[in-house]
Amino acid sequence: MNTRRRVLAARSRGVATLRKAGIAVLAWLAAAPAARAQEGAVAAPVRPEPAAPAEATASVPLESLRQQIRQTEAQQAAEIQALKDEIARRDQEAAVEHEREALERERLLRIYGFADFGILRAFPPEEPFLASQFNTPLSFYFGRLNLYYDAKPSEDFRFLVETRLSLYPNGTSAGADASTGGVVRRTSTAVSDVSSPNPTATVNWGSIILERATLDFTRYPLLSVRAGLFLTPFGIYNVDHGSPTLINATLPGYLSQKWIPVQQLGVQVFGSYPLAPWEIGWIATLGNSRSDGILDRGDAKAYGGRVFARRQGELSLTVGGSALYQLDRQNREQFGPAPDGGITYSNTRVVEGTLFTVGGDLALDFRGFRLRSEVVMYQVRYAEGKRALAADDLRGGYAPDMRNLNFYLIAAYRVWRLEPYFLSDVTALSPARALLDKAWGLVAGVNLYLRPNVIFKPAILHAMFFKKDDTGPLPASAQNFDEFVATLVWAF
Amino acid sequence: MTTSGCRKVRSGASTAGVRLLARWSCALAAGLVLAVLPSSRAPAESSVRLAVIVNPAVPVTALGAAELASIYTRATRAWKDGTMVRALNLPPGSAERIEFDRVVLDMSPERSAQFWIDRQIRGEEPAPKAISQADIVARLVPTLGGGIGYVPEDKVEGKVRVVARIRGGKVVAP
Repeated sequence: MNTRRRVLAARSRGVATLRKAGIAVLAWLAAAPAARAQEGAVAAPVRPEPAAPAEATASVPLESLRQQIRQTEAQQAAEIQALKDEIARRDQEAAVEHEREALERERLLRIYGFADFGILRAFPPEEPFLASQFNTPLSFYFGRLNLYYDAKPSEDFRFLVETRLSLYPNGTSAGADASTGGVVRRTSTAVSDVSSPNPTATVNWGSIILERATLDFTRYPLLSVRAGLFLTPFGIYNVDHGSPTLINATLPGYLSQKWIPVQQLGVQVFGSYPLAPWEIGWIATLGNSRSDGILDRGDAKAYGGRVFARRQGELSLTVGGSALYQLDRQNREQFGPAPDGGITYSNTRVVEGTLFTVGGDLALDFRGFRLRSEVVMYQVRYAEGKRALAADDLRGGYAPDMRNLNFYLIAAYRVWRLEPYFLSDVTALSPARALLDKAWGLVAGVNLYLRPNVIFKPAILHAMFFKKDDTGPLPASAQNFDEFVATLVWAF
Repeated sequence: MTTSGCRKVRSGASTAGVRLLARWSCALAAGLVLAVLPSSRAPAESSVRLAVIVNPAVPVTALGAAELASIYTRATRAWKDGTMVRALNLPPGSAERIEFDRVVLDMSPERSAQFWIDRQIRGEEPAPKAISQADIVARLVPTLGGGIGYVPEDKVEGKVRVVARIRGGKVVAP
């Protein structure tokens, strides 16, 4: 019994204690907003007030408490807004800093480029040599994948490298001669992939073609200097050179016949002067020309120059003139037996000539209308007894002195995303070659701009060859051929 | 092509150049006629009002449309005191960039995109850096030696110098 009483008494004490604690908590809750409001409003530390008894709390007017709550809420909203403003300010500062860093990163290195991939079908001519070159059935092809590495190591210098990643020489013709019995061989770059877990795996290696690698000093806009491997600044095509920029990628006659070297190792000085809305520019080059190899072993430099005027805007116009004077000197290096049983070394000049290429160009864009045109003259003079081999003539033998002309014109009109165009390219050779004295290429195509930097380019090419007083066993027209090419091009 | 067909072509080879020139003269004339037809792409006058701002150390007080075009096509690369120009753009497709390209460079968005792709492939200087927001341009220009940018007029802060304004499709003095 006693135990039961004790338990009951303890229970009733506990209930009383809980009631008192509940009243105290209610009193604290009622007083708390006021205390918190005071804490927010007064910077000085606030002494904790003794908990008001429940009776006192009940006497505080309700409206006063509500007023305190409203003040507290307003205070809190202001604080939150201030914090939000601070966050926004810091975000903005971070964004400014991010952009500043991005500017600096871009100055140090930018990587961009272009690529193309397509399908082609060539319809071979009757003439056997060209037939071996233009006999591709419908085939996909991997065109270009050019990467640019653009850096400004300091404010006045710019370093630019353009590389082309290619699958070559895999699949290219390795030629045919007596040793192969006339059978055309194809180069294979297949090698065993020794790092593969599969011992029979093979890979085909490709190549990296260096298109250009230059260092520019651009401190003075009128007189900048470029050194390294550069694209010969001649006319429009050779510098435009990328499939997204060219309306049509077919090589003009003067480039396909190598009247100028596509690249040169050497130096350039160049500059431009803004004469609003025009820009007047000039370039002078000194390069290795068509050297025997990487070094100019024939001591045959090329001296070139270009002047142009261009304006940008809705009417974009470039008018230019270019010239390149090249010495063509080729030496034959040879070892031989010496009378004393040793060896001799001779370095004999076997080719001595001058090559002069001069041209004018015009590029015009006005609204949807686009025009590109170049006219180029190429003159070759050899010293007697030191002529080059006539590599471009089926008769073989030595190259004659010559004066050739090439003219091309592309006219395009862009409507919406479509750009139909026509190209005509005429080359006149003097004196005539074995199978031709004129060549005429016609191209018709439509460029579809899926995006400004993604273009689909289908085109048909028809090439014709002519020869006056043609009495050869094969007419010049036996070389005529057709080609269909559709290329997807993108820049990035 | 048959042999007789070839002979026909060869017999006309001597006049091929003349015929070619005649054909392409016609094509050129047709193209020019098409080109001068009123363009359906003529933009409506924009309500975008821009201020062209420079770093206070840049030695210019006012720039005209031609000078701005020269700067923003990279034809002008240095200020008169030799400081390199560091031009800032806004993102392609933004109303401000479209208006700036149209008024200053006389280029549609498509033409502008093609223009910079072409320059990049030729190996020329790339487009001025596009900054994501005008607020950031307004804050970057005063901290960037040789800096120039354009922002909506209400974004101009006190630390920069306004050298031109673009209002009603024209470049006007500050």
